Amino acid sequence: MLCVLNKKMTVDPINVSNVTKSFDGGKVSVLRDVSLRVVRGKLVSLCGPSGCGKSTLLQIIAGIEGADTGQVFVEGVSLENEAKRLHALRHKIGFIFQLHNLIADLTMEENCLIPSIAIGKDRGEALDRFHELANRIGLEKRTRHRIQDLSGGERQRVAICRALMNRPSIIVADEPTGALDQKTSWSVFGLLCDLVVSDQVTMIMATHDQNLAKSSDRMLSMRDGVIE
Amino acid sequence: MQFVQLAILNLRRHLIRTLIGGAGITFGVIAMLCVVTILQGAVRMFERILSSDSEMIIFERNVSDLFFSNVPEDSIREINQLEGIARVEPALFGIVSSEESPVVTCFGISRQSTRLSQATWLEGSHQQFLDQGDQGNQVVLGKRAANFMEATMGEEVVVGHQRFRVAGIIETKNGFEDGGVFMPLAVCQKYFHKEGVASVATVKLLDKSRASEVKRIIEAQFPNLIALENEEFSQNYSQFRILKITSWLVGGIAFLLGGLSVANTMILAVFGRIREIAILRVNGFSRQQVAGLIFGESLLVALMGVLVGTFLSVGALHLLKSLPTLQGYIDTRLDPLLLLAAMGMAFVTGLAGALYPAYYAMKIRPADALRFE
Ligand SMILES: Nc1ncnc2c1ncn2[C@@H]1O[C@H](COP(=O)(O)OP(=O)(O)O)[C@@H](O)[C@H]1O
Ligand SMILES: [Mg+2]
Repeated sequence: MLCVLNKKMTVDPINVSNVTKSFDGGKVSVLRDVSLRVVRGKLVSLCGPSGCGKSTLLQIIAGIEGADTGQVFVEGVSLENEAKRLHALRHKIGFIFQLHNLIADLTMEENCLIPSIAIGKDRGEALDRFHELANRIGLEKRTRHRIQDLSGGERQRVAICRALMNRPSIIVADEPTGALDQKTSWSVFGLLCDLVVSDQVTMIMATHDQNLAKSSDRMLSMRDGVIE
Repeated sequence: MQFVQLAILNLRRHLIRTLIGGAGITFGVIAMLCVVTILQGAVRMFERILSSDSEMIIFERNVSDLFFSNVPEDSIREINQLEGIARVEPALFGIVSSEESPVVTCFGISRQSTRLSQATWLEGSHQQFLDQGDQGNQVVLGKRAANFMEATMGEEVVVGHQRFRVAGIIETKNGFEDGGVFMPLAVCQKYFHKEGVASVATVKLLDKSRASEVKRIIEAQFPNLIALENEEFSQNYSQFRILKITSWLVGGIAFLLGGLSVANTMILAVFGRIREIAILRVNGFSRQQVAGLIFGESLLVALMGVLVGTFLSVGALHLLKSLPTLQGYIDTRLDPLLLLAAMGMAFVTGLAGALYPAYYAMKIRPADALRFE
């Protein structure tokens, strides 16, 4: 038992090896032999110019896209079966998009409960978790508001709240502050950092804001589909 | 929030679309329930007119319409003597139309008939009618017939080309009978130039379990007659069959049209929510869960349609029943089997309507759907 536990603790939450990805039947080569490991409980940022393949890499890690070749392990589980990938990761990964991807005419509460419906969690339990998170992100007064009535910064906080609903061990964030102004960016980033520390979450975040990237535990630079 | 709540939420968010989809099913249910119920009711009443406290009915072999059936009175008398038979009653049906009332059904029956003895006499009494003896021009009117002829007991009424004296007014549970004119058989025969025959004869048996035996004896002795037990009759009588099939067809087709509205609603619901479905997927919904959501929404629309449709049908049938012109012709009893059929059809329509939309929703690739804002 102890042995199993130990083994589990030592597995890297994210382990990408020799992944390639191209689109349009090989014409657009986006990732070229990318390998990457993320240590538990750390915040890793992925920098690079627009179009270098950051989003594609994060989507492969989160199971939204599949790799052409190479292997991806998330919490020690190989992501090969395309049909089951996303569903299999629903307890493990929370994804935060640049464009929040919330449902505009639903309320904050309704949006945030979606991940718990997916795993069939008891409503009362889900609501407890939701209110706890709403408090932590400072939106406890906005829970019944529709997303379309919230500001950009508030929306991104809601997206963070939704990503954390199922207590994932990994957060994948694709330019979470990309659409926000300087001041809001920093407050959203601060919130993410707090969560990484308090919930012992592992996080990989794409950004092209050098200042944010420098404040993370580790910074990776990407260019033309290769991690430098 | 649970799965079902999400489905309901989605339906509420697109209320107009949902209502239009539900309305299709509602109209389908109303059409089916009303058409089938009204026709079934009519058939049931007609059956009761024919069978009138008996187990078997005799009519002319190979005649598909009762009004053209001729059963000789002599044969009826002979059958009455057969073993195992309690009583055989002749009935001659005829229809008279005049300007004031388009259809008056005339029943030629024996003066002792159970149709008269078992009816409620509103004016006069059966005994009094029997005591008067045959005066050759008496009729007993059904309640509604008396009403539209504005006749009371003892007065003369005009039926077609002849005048009759009203010897009584009766009420039955049957719309056709209540709107009818009862004549002694001989009077009716003369009036319709059908001397010596009745349209049908109804047979009451001493022992119901011997029905098939009696039937065989009758058909052996009278090759040009056919004897059918009541149930057999209503299943075989081609007019009833045509009516029943037609009513189910009309109801079913109306239902299908309603089903198309659900399919349409669900297709719109999916095409308009591609991005949203991708969001569900990246938040942990499996393809099956997405399909389940679409089927769930579709079934909820169908369920709503059935409930509202059933409710409105009951209302509509009662309304029709209360209309003076239809008094007694409409039987508002909803056949439980019919209700079950409507619900089953709504269920199937709901499922079928969601088939393609759910398939389409399952095929949505989240990565593609989320790339563009
Ligand atoms: N589905 C796709 N089909 C074709 N090209 C794609 C697709 N997804 C991404 N790309 C291309 O891959 C490259 C990398 O995109 P992306 O990973 O979004 O970069 P980044 O997030 O670093 O800006 C871009 O040139 C983009 O146009
Ligand atoms: Mg990107």
